[in-house]
Amino acid sequence: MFTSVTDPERALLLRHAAGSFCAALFLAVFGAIYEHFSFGVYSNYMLYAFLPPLIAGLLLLFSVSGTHPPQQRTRFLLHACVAACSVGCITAGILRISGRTSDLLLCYPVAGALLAMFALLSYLKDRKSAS
Amino acid sequence: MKYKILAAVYGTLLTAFSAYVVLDAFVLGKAEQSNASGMNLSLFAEQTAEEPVGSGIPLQTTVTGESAADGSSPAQTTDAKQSETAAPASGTTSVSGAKTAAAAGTASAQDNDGNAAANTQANAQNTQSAKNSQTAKSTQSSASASTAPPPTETVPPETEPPQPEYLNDDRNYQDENITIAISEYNVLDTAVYVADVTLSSPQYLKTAFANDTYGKNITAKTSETAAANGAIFAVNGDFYGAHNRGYVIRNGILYRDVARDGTDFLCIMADGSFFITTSAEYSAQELLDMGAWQCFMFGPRLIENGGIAVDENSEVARAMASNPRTAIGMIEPGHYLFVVSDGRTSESDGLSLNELANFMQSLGCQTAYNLDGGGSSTMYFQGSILNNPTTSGNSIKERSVSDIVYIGY
Repeated sequence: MFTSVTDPERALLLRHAAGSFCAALFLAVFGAIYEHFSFGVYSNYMLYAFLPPLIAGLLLLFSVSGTHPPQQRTRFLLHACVAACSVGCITAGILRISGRTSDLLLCYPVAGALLAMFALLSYLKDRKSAS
Repeated sequence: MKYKILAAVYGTLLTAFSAYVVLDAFVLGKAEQSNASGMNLSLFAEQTAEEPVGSGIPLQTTVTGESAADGSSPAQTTDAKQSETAAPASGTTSVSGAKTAAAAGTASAQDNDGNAAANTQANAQNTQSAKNSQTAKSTQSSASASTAPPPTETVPPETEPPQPEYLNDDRNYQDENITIAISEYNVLDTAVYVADVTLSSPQYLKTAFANDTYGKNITAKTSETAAANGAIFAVNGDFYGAHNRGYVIRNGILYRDVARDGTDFLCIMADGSFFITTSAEYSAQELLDMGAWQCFMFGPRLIENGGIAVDENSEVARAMASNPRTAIGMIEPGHYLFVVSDGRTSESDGLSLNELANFMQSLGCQTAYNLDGGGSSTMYFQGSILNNPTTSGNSIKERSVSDIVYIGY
């Protein structure tokens, strides 16, 4: 369906989407291996750490066929958001599996939410300037 | 190019912050109070003064000639039974003990009149030196030195009281206040160690912080902390140092009053009973005012009012599988079970929480609570480790923990 894409900007988006899917696959495998060696002690954060890059990859994939693909700034903010969420999930998972808690973990969802909001605002600005 | 530099900087910051979070959680120690070995023994003296017969608990301070002679005491039978086991408490000795205990109760009641909670730190300091004494009786005596009756009122023994024959070996301990019997079971291909503990007073059920220090990531092996505190018997505690939140009340002293949602708290009250609650129901200060002697925050509750409180699908989020476990249960006030199961080895699979709860129920526990398990699970008795503590199953090795629960003077 996307093999006919020739626009360099959209090809770039496909590469970004593929990168996100690779990150999701890596996190899924990492989480599965970590859980395997944790003697049944599990954490949903670790199990679902692959979701942020998967969602970002899907968003980028859908944007390829759209009329207003996200620009570089928006993509950067989106990836920064995904990184904050995924690293936060992995860190929270490690702590939860070891039976520990930390108030510092709150920084990750806050950072992720702010970056997601900035990414959205940036995307809206891109659309406005394009039109 | 600009965004590549930004991405590199952002990635570096994110990695550094995550490394700090992990280090903060696992490694970086933060001592908040050193010499944290104080005890608020006034809880027991208060009970003697206000409720001499207790609530069925054979408190040492109530095992007195005066209390025992009072036929109105509902705990008389229990006290009488205790007197049978506490053979050294002969008639003459009891008279002396009764007056000393009564004096201690009076002194404590005066000290804590209307402001018991505010005096906890002061009491801790007062009892700090008392901790080093060998018996609580001597502690009470020193606390009530100013009001103690003159020595002439003490009737000296005419004849040497018969010495009890205590069975003390590598599986049993007994003296006038403490009886411990260790048993080993095989439950579902798992070695389970059970310590049946009977105390004349819950004040002998104590806790200790690693290195005598309250704080985050301050750890020591259970056996080291137990030996440092002269424990007869010990198990690992709730690893309070792994969390920033959750009540920490130890030996009648409040160390942390920050609520922690979604966690069951076990309070061992000064009357010897177990009380399981949540931070949504009571503040730490309220629990302290109610007479909480110890308060643990791990959970979940395993047995409550004699019934299983966890089912097969409601395991604590930390563990869905069989693992080493540590749990504490109460058959009746003053009569406790400490259970430690092996796990993660080829010899022992470990137990799920539901399996542990069923086992403890079969032993007669009316209330039971899960403590820190996994590699932390350790049972110590008279200088030896009884179980096979392991984190990975590859090696039998004790894990360093924040705190222990122990039986001793």
